[in-house]
Amino acid sequence: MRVMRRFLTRLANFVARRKSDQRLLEEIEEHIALQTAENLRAGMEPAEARRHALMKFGAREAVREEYHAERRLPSIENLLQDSRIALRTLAKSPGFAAAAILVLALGIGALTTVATWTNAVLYNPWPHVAAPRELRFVDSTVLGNQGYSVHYDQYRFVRESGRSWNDTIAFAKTSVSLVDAGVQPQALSIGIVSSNYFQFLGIQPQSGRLFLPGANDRSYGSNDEIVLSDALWRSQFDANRSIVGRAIAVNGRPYTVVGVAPPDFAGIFGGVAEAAWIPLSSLRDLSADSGPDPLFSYGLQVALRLRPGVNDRTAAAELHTLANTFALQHHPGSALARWDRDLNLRDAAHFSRGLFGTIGDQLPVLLGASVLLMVLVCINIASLLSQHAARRRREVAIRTALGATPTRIAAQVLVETGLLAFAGALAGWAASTGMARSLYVLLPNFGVPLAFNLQSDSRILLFVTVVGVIVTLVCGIYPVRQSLRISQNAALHEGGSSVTGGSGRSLGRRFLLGLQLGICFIVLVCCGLLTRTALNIANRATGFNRANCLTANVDLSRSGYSPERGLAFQSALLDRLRTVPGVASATLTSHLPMGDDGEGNTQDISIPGYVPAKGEEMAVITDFEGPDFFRIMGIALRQGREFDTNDNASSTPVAVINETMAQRYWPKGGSIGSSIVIDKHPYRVVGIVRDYAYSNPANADPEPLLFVPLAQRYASYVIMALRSRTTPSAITAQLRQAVASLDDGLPVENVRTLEDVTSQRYQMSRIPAELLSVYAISSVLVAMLGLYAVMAYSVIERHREFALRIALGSTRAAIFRLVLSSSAWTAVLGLVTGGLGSIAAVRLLRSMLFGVTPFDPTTYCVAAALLVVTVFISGFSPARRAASVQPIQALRTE
Amino acid sequence: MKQKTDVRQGTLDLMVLKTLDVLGQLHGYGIARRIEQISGDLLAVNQGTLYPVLLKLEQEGAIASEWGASENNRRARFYRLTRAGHRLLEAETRDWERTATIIGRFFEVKAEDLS
Repeated sequence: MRVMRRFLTRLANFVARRKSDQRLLEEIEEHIALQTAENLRAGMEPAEARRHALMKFGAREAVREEYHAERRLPSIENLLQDSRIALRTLAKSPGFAAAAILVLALGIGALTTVATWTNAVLYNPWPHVAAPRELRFVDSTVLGNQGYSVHYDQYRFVRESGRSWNDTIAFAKTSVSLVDAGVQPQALSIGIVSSNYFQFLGIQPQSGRLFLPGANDRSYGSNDEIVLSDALWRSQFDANRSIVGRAIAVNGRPYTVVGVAPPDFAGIFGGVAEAAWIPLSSLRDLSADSGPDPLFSYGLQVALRLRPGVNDRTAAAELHTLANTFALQHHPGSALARWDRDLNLRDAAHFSRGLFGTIGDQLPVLLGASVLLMVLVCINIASLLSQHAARRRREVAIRTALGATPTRIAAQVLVETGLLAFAGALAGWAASTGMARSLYVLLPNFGVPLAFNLQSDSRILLFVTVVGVIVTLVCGIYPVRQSLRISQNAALHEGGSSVTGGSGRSLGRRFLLGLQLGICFIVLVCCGLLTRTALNIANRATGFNRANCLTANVDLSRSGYSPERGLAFQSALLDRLRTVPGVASATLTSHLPMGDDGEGNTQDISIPGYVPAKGEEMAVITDFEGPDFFRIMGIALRQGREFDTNDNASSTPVAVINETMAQRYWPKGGSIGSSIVIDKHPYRVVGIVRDYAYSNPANADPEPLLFVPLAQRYASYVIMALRSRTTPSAITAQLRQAVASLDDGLPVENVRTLEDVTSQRYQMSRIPAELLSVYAISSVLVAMLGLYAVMAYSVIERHREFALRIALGSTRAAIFRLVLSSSAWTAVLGLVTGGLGSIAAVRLLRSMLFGVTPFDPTTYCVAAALLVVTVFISGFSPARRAASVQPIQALRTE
Repeated sequence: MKQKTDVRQGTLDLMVLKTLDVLGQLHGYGIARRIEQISGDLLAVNQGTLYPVLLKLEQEGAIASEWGASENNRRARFYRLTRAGHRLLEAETRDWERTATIIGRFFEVKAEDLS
């Protein structure tokens, strides 16, 4: 209470800038007058009496100082004063300030970007969700593999019988077609959720209502409702509140919009952005051939919240027990059969990372790299600051002579460092908001929109502040120590003890710089190798023609096509596309070369006459192709023929295979004319095509591929591929028109050129090289700055030496060479350490390289040359300054 | 050898409070003199250090001050104890006495008393 009151009074005095020197002076005067009078009474001489009174009072200035310190808040006042001085000092050397802030922004920006992602992926993945860290997820084990989705009946059983959890939800994601007046038909990635989903997550609508938790998920068609995401509401419905209550068509069926979710909420499915949500009970309406009970075979994600006081181990044990009970009830005798799976409990981090293990894997690498960069930044900023402090030797000495305490001098240096650090932190933070978004390119393309919570929340701001403080302290220590040393010597005479300056300390700094250059060298080498890898991959023959081809896909089952109608539609579509003006040729396919990786299209096959080895899986990637697919794609035919319009539902089933498949299953040849059995139907092999880059352009080990005619094996999801007579963009509008003329409610998705499709694959090989080159540039910049600082510092320290040398007849060119040669030694040290380090680093990189050896001489030479050039550039300006020392001036100022 | 007596931190506060309690309103010089008389020249030097202490006590609200006339009829600042100051003095006095008693007992203890 007393302390508080005292502080408040002082604060008030400080704010009001109240100075009551008058009162104290008057009191002191009176005190001394009274004491003098007393002394006179005691019989002293008047002059003696006053002198005694003054002596007895003590040092008046000290009392005044103490009195003022008591009265106001000296720490804040000093801080403000120091800040003003620091701002003035920095304004006097804008180049220094700009360089320091830029480098700090670079380091802090990189670190904050990684922190933002870490936050988005690991700590705050789902804005608006209540207590997201307390969510637990359930997955199932199928045939010994974990991570599978959960069956609805199992979910119901877990929900109703479980005692360790309060409530559970089930959800899945799917793609649907959205049709509405004034909106082009489009495909959306949406969530299908149990009715208690929103209540469970604690989401509040921004308009309308969300799903009512009591609804029965299995009473199909009873609640055809849809909740829109904020993003969809804004982009398609102009943020119009009157949309609530209206019906919109999802896969051709009317759904009533009941509400709009809050901004930034995009579901809890990894980083997949869901555009809207519909209840599980609407599942039957989504596809044409879903059967009477679609939930029976639908894979669901399950989340739950544990009861207070229940730990994860108890809950996991109960889950295993329940899974076992469920299996015994439904399939007595065959425990854990195909439908009846063991259940596993996962924490929230597992799920948010689960789908994007890629990010989870990359984050530690990125974090390590950015921390290393930050350490280098700090070392070099400290070095730069101490160089700066050395120039102000005289100023520090004068301040010391005038009575500045070591604390004040240290505070002054720290305040200056702090200003730089926080300016850098602010710039870095601003840059990170943009950089964080650019990291999306690191994610593999799932063909669905992604959304991570990349908002700079309070946690990120706190992080940036803490980094700023740490940087201030770490970078400030060295210049503070240096200033204090100067202040202790307190000598006004410039120059240290010796003519050449202390060499011991600068040796240590040089060694550190050598190490840094070594790191730069390693990064440059890795960057070079990866760049060559990317170039090699880009130049590698793909085995098909990427140029001048437009692609787009349609999903017929979503729009309610039965297989018969779908087949007729596809045939009509092909006929229509072929007649479009400007189209040279057109075909349909289920997979584009270098499109997705085809993992989902494997078929179990058997080949009469081929006996699989024990444990060999007879499953190959199988694609469905329209007529002339291989000719139109430019894929070379090795033997036989390819599909034509005569291969249809009524003709003999035929198949084409690639070379690898032919060699794998018919090592002695004779594959043409043999048959392959798929689903008990034999397909006769009529042709062999050359291996081409199926998904990954760098894959040197092609997988066997099987192709069958689309007309003989229906697929509802097909991709149109058109060769244009002119350019792909010239026929985009015609493509849409052609589809609309057959069905104007059918969304045309992913309209893009084959170049675009394939370039995404190339991007994957370019990303490491690009990221590393950004890193290489940053680390070289940082090292340059550090190098410059050390060189400039040594030139200041040795400036008397240079003056003497010139006075004694040394030429300026010789001085220039002298300074540069010392930096050459640092370069040599860097090359040696970097060379040794790169042997280890390149070993880690080996698996990522393609068509280039880890010890590629060209790369090493270029990296070394770059490093040497860097060293000389940063040494140039200090060397010139050394050479331009005026001996008369330099020696006279001593 | 003459030893420089530094007043223990907080002790001066207590002396000021007690002086004002006993003598009522006093100006700075008066307080200094009183303390000097009672403490036997403890404050013989550095009387000035009293003023920051007075300011601190005033800012804490333990004492209040106003201008008045001194014995040689000049303007002087007079200090008096506030109600909060009285309470503070009582609390401090109790603390002080307790400490003094305990320390006193320790000084009286002889080796044989502890065996």
